[in-house]
Amino acid sequence: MFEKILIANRGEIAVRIIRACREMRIRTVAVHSTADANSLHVRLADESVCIGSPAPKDSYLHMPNIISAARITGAEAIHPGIGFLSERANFAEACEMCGLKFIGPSAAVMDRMNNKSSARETMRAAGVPVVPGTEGMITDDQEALKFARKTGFPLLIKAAHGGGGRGIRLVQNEDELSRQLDMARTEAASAFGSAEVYMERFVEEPRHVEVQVLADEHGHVVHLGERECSVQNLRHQKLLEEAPAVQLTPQQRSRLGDAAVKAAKAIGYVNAGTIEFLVDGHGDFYFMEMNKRLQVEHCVTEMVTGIDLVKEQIRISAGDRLSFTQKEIRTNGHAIECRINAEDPAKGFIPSAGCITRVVLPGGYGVRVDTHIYAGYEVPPFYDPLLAKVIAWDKDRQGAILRMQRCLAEMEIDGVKTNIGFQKRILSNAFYRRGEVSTDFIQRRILSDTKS
Amino acid sequence: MNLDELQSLVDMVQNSQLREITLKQGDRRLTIRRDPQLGATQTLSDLEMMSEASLLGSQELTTTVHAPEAVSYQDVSAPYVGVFCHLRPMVGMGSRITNGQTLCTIQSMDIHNEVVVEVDGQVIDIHVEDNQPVEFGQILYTIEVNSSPNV
Repeated sequence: MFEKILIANRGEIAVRIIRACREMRIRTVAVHSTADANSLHVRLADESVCIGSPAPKDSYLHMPNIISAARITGAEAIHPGIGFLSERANFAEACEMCGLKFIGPSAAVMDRMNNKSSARETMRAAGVPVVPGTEGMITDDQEALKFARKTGFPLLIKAAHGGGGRGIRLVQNEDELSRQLDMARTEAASAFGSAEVYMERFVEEPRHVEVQVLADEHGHVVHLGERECSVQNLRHQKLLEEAPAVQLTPQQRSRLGDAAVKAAKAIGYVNAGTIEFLVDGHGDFYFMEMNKRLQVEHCVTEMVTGIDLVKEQIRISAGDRLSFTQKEIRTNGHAIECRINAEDPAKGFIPSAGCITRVVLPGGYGVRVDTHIYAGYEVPPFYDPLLAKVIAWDKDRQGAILRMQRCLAEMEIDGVKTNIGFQKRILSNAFYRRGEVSTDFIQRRILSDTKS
Repeated sequence: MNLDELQSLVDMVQNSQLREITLKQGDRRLTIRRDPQLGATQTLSDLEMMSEASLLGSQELTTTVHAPEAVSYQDVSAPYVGVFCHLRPMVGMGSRITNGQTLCTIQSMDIHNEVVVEVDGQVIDIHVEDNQPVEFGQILYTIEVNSSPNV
């Protein structure tokens, strides 16, 4: 096992990883920008190294300074956390070249899955369902028209190198197909440096359901069930997640799990990863993309399985075998996570920076709060607005909703604007409570309600 | 304050690691600043002459030991994370340096990155030792900046 790990991240996730290390008796090195010198992760770690000025490119994305920090402190491994360098193949490669263990998948696997189109082809070849679409790139309009007539409208044109909801165009009919293709190619070339596009069927009112997998270096792959992540803001950022997913039959659930394991095996994946699927109204599901890292919402899976994902990541990277089989993994109860962000819902969710003057966090049975904030903490304007994750567990969904409502009623954060009130509205929404969610839930059920 | 008291203050500054001391009494303020280049006797005689005259009437007095022009200091901090390495021959205490000159290197991922100074002046303090690991922003040198290039 490692003796010392460097955590190349900040905020609540850095705190989360440091906690796992401490319980494993592993020493920790925090890195921080000048704006985060007083941050909680710096205080909790055994050592800390300032790696640059506030802008992410000068600190949390500055590979030489981070690798150098690991070297001067004698860390053996780097945990990249979430975001920042966590899915940069060249960072994983640089770590390995410098004799540091990167806690995540190999650079080769990351490279392969970073191109959406080639990831899609890999999945299709492995027998994982993908949204019906063109095989490879669209090279001429005739080919596009043939596909369109076969599949039916509406259709999506997607940039091969796009991501995060960018580089996607919706086509309604044959008349606008060739014009939309031209525009998509021009757009893709300027935004992603490649004019390559492909086409897909448009899945109506889809739900975003993802499956957590764990894979060790010895060929064992298991899944830890799925998470429902359909409640997203207009920029496709998740706001509230839960495990297990709502409205799935046991058969659908097991088919999803099997598909995720198949996907991970097909690419020789090692470490923790998430396969994201779109689920349509008929319960059919399609591979969307793979997250080759830990995820913000990993906590809900931990609460229902009792498995600490960060500790498993570290054990896998140290070369250990998974200590459980698929059969031994049981999910128990229901967990909901609310992301508490420093943002102003009344002003289009613009981030709100400033000094937190007062904090009251919820607690009690079945409640977990992962956060880095404290009274007197300055929320810097340079990073993600996530302040805290409140996770409520109970034996069923109804109980978890009631518990989460109780938590949010207790919670107080003064000094910055937060979305606590907005989260309360989601939890009290009748459609949400019935489990009727899709990725346009916020637009259809919450924001449209405000306007009327 | 009489001359004896002033004398003992000057002695104190000279025998300590202090660079300057400021004394406030009511609306009077006295600053004694040490110039590491100069010998003790010269310092004292300059100071005596200036202080005696000024202490009587003036409300505020700033005594600079060496020259009448203002002295400013600038810290040079580490722009990279890595291992601090002196040059051979090293830029040491008292070294005269010019804008654009390399002071040291910071070794990061097997590359020696040069740390270049952006002022003319003199090194009056080195805060780190050879082969010491340094973080971003850590102060490496204190430079006494030449106030005017002609002097």
